[in-house]
Amino acid sequence: MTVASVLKTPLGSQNNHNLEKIIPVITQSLIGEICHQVSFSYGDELKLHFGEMTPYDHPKLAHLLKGSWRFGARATPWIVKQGDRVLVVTSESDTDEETENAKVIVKQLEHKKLVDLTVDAETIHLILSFEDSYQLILEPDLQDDSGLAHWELFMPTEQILEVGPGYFWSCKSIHEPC
Amino acid sequence: MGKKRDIQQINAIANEFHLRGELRDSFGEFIEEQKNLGYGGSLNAKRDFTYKELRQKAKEFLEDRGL
Repeated sequence: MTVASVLKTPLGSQNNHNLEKIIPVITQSLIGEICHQVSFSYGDELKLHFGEMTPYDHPKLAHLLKGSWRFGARATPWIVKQGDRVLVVTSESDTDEETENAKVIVKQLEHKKLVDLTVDAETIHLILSFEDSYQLILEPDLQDDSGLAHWELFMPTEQILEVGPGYFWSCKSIHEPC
Repeated sequence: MGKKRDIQQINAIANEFHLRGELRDSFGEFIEEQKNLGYGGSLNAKRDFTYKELRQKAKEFLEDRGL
């Protein structure tokens, strides 16, 4: 089934409302999973791996593990909080030292259980809540013209959920053309 | 955090070489791993890659997979 054709959603307040309601439904099975691994892809993109961990298929990556659920923050800056305490706030203009510091801090999410995932319909802000009161917060720039998604989620169903740019979002097969 | 230009370049090259979904994701990991293994690019002191070098890496990525 071409899920994208059903769920690809244009800008509009009605659709924003759908986004706030539908995304928690799509990601419902992720709640309760452990973040087994925090990693960084090229461009310092934050990745969180949940679910079953298996080796990458590519022969030169076979020593690396990936989660059956993989969250990617793309180029969106992120914040890590524990309770009311802000542990780190990242930005596009971070220095190399700040980037390395943020990478160390966000590793605190490893081995933590995800307890909630919420998206704000108006701002598209995403909050991933973990046990021990940790939160990973993404506050996408809705005016960003890079063409990149704000964030993405690979799912065990061989689907990818992409939110952004702007208010656009889709959930489609990983085998479907972009 | 999350370097827009780098991620845009990976996306552009992934599109050019028809790397979709899992393959596009793996390509980003492959490029980062190449840096970590000492096979980085010439763009800067961090051994990031030029666009031309990324295209070459895409070819290697596909060849290594037997594609």
